[in-house]
Amino acid sequence: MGSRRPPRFVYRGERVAFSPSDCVIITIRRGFLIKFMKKRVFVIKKRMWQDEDLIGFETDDILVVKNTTPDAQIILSRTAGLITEINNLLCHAAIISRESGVPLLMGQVGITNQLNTGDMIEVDFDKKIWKKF
Amino acid sequence: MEEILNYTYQFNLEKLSQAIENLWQKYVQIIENKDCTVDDIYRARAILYFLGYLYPEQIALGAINNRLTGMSLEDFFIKVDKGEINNELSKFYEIIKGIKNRTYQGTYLGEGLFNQVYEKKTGQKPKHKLD
Repeated sequence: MGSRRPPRFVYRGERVAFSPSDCVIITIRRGFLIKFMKKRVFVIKKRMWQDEDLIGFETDDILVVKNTTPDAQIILSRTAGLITEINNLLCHAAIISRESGVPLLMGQVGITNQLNTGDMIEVDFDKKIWKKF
Repeated sequence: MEEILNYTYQFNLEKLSQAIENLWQKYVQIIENKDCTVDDIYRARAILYFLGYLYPEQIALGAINNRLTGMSLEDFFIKVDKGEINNELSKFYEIIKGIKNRTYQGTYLGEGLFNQVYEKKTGQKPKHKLD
């Protein structure tokens, strides 16, 4: 696991000079932080995954998975954001995201096949869009 | 499963919780029983699918949506998680979260153990994913 690199927080509307990488723009919506970020992804292609599938995960990576389960709770506290293929307001990922405030983008069917660990992506959790760069 | 649907319709949360626990215990007994039959393991598959996916993510979601007024589902869940709502509907949501956060022998609803028993008894892997 890598050491946590403190994110640079920039409030929407604030005029600042920043490098395009590793920036985080915060907006407050419904009481939660909704973020735009450029980050490295850690991709798990299996549906059922366990601790050994997390070798190489670095704190502050965006975790890209088909789904999450309660046994994955610890790693979810160390991820910058979560992207899942499954899409349901009562799936585990949605529940844990609401409880912990981890930004979540659901319903990205096929994303675990489109991305590989180490890829860099831009993701807007508010607009629910992402792209590889 | 019939009892769970019945008490969901009646919105009797006490009996609903008990019915969920009863079904869960039935499932655990099957996957823990080394002498369970193939029929038993298919029954456990049905329970796993029902408790793990169909009930919480489809039926319960619909049940909340049908009873919710004045706000969206997403807003309701957020407010409950922030402790801003405390009523029968929020208690129902907490029951559902109890299912979704349940692990057994290290995996969600004991799916790892279930898969082992299923493979042993049927000679094949479960064909369809839980979610």
